[in-house]
Amino acid sequence: MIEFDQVTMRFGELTVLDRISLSIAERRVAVVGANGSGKSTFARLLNGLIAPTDGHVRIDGLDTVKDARAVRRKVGFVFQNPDNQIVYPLVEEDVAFGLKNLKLPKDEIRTRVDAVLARYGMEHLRTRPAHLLSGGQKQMLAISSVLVMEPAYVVFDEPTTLLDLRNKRRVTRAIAEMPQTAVVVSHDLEFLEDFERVLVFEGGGIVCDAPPAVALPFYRDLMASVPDV
Amino acid sequence: MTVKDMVYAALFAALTAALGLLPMIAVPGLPVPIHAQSLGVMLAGGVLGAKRGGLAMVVFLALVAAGLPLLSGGRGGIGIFLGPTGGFALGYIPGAFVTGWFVEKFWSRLNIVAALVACVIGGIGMVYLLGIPWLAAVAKISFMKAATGSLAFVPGDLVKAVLASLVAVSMKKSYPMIGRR
Amino acid sequence: MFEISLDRVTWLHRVPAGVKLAVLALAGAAVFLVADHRVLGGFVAVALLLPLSARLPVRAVARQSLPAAILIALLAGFHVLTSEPDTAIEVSARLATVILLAVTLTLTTRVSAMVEAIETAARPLRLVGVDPAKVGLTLSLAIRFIPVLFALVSEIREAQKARGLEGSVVAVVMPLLVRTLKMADDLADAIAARGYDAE
Repeated sequence: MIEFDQVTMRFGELTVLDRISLSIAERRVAVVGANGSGKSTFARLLNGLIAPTDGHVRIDGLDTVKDARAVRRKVGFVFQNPDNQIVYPLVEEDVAFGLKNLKLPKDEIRTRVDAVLARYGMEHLRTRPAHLLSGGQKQMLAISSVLVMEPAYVVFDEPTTLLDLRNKRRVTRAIAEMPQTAVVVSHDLEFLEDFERVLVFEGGGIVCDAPPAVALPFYRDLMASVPDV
Repeated sequence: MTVKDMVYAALFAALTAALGLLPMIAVPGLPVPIHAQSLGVMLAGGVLGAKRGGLAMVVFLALVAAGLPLLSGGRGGIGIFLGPTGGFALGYIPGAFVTGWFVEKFWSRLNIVAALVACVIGGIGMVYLLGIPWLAAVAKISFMKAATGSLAFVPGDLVKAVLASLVAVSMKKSYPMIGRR
Repeated sequence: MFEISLDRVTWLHRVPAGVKLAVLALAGAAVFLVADHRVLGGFVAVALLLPLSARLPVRAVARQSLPAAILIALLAGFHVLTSEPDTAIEVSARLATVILLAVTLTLTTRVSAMVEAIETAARPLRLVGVDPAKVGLTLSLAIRFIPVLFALVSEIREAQKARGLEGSVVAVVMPLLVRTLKMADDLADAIAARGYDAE
């Protein structure tokens, strides 16, 4: 269960999110909105990457500020650009990084790395330097490196924006099949049609909170009607 | 060391390596062509400050020692530090640190002149301070001979100091790094 | 580009990186303590035999030692001209030994093994508050950044060429810095998001 309790986020003078309250129990939740609508900030609040200026964010009752360490274990985060989140030069080293942070024994790290690479068809890439992978492979590596830690929730910040059509499908399938709760920030409306709930952000608030059949047409109309400033 | 310290130091180590890729520039009137690599020393100090700048050079030299061919002209390996020019390479560390120290001192009123002073004292002075005696000792030549021989590189280094100062001042305006946590 | 260690594996390739580093350090010190030409000759002979025994291609060794060889030749010439032939022999024998040993070490050791050896060598630094694991992570991060930076430099140079700004170092460096610092900030977030505690 994800809970936002009167959450306000300000950067200097700028109010990015204004008194957001909601709770999420669904397994597939999408977040849409124009650039600068506050949706990326919303995503970053979920695993404590940033702390709210006012209010509280709780994950299964854990406060993202007070229980930061436990929250990081529970909530994985996949960023938009895989190049900016691959930490180690080699594929297998990068997948193992999060597990080393969890201080797991070496044997278990190896077993888990093997399993996740096999799961996403990347065994043949294990000793490959990450910079030689294709864009799609890099994104799958980024996702594997997060899923290997077995978080209960995974936040995706525009995971398909930089990908071609085939890799988009590969990533959307991986997200659809994973057992965890997924919160996905995306511009890719087609991919969100099977989700349970869509939050539409606009001007620092949620202007529509509904299943995709209602929320996606609402969002399309909103984007068509609001002139670009 | 915070995560940011590590990431920024790693980034400027990589930047210094990448600058080694830029072609040498032959400037009319200068005795030797300029290569951009030692620009990385002044940039690391001038943009990141003393601690992170010095750390960036430690990382860069550790990678060179580990055998990556990162020095301009594709040189690398621990032999660099044992040869006659090893002192100049090691001088990168105090070079970036001292440049950064002065830039931090001048930070609130940093302009092109102050940045230039920082780059010249740190990026040139400190590097030569280690490089020349090292060259003299390893090559068994007199200190004066070593100093005169190194003089040919000073005009090029001054050009780089001007470039680094320009970058440091415009980075302060557009993306200030010093005082950032 | 990042593994200049060659594929053929000999006994010297199997010696742990830390041991090779220690031998190099000892030999480097020893060679500066002796002045006897016969002993120095022995050092040079060993330094020449090692790369052969590791079956390193002569061309690779030559390419790696060429810049140093030119410098050694210049120095030797200088000392001969100033009528100190003994010094010429000493200086060139010492430098040749050290450079050849170092090149052999570099060509028979994987970069990742060297990084690990550096991490191990950094252990005593714990006493002054440096965490060796952080040393290893920072080096890995830099290795990870290098290809990205190399690619960006070429990309930005192309773009500047199209705008007629080629040769302007500032025009390459400024966009490079702004883009990569943003990337570094993201990467710091990603490291935190994956449970890394820097304390």
